[in-house]
Amino acid sequence: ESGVNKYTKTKKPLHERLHEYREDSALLTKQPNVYKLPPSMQPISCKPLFFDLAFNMVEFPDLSEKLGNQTKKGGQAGL
Amino acid sequence: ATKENNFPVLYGELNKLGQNGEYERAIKIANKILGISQDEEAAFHCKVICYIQLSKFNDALQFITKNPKLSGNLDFEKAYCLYRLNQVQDALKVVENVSNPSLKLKELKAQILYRLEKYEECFSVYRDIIKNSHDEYEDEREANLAAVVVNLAIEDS
Repeated sequence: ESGVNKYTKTKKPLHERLHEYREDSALLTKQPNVYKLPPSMQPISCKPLFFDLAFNMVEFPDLSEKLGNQTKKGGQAGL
Repeated sequence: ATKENNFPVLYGELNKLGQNGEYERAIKIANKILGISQDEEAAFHCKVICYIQLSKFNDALQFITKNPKLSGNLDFEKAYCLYRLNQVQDALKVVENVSNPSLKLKELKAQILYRLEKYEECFSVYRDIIKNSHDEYEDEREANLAAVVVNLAIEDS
């Protein structure tokens, strides 16, 4: 019964059969089949696009008052 | 006093450099103005903007914190630096302290809340902004809103 499985050869890496007891002499060799590396690809949900719109609002204050009469059209003199 | 007569000329140059995106040179002009008068809030503000545009967030932040007298109106800039420096919690504190926040402060707040994964609150801030803003970034803003909705959906599942 349970003994039958004991020596069965398997291609599953160790981490996939941790729940069953099995004597596996292959684990004592120099190339033990513990985990498949590199792991196989798995789909994950993508990170949604997210824009830094605040950066677009990092701008100089309105300097028109500081420019004095330079750029102003006439008509404001004397105020 | 005669030196201060130069202010319109200097500010004119500063303005032009800002419009052309020449922020390295703009900093020099801002420094010139601040060298003549330390309390020129506008030049101070411009200098902070230059640092941010040049991605020198640490410099900008230090400059703001070292001159509290001149940076009363720079909550947005301060919070933005903290946000980019990954001090997101502190950024939120700055933003939340502002009563009557401007639209750009709300925009930043939404991004901060997103980074903090407070998606419910973030969602309502974006709804508010989208309702009240009319600018050229409406598509991008809706993309951001979509990202918030995605995260809300993931949280619920």
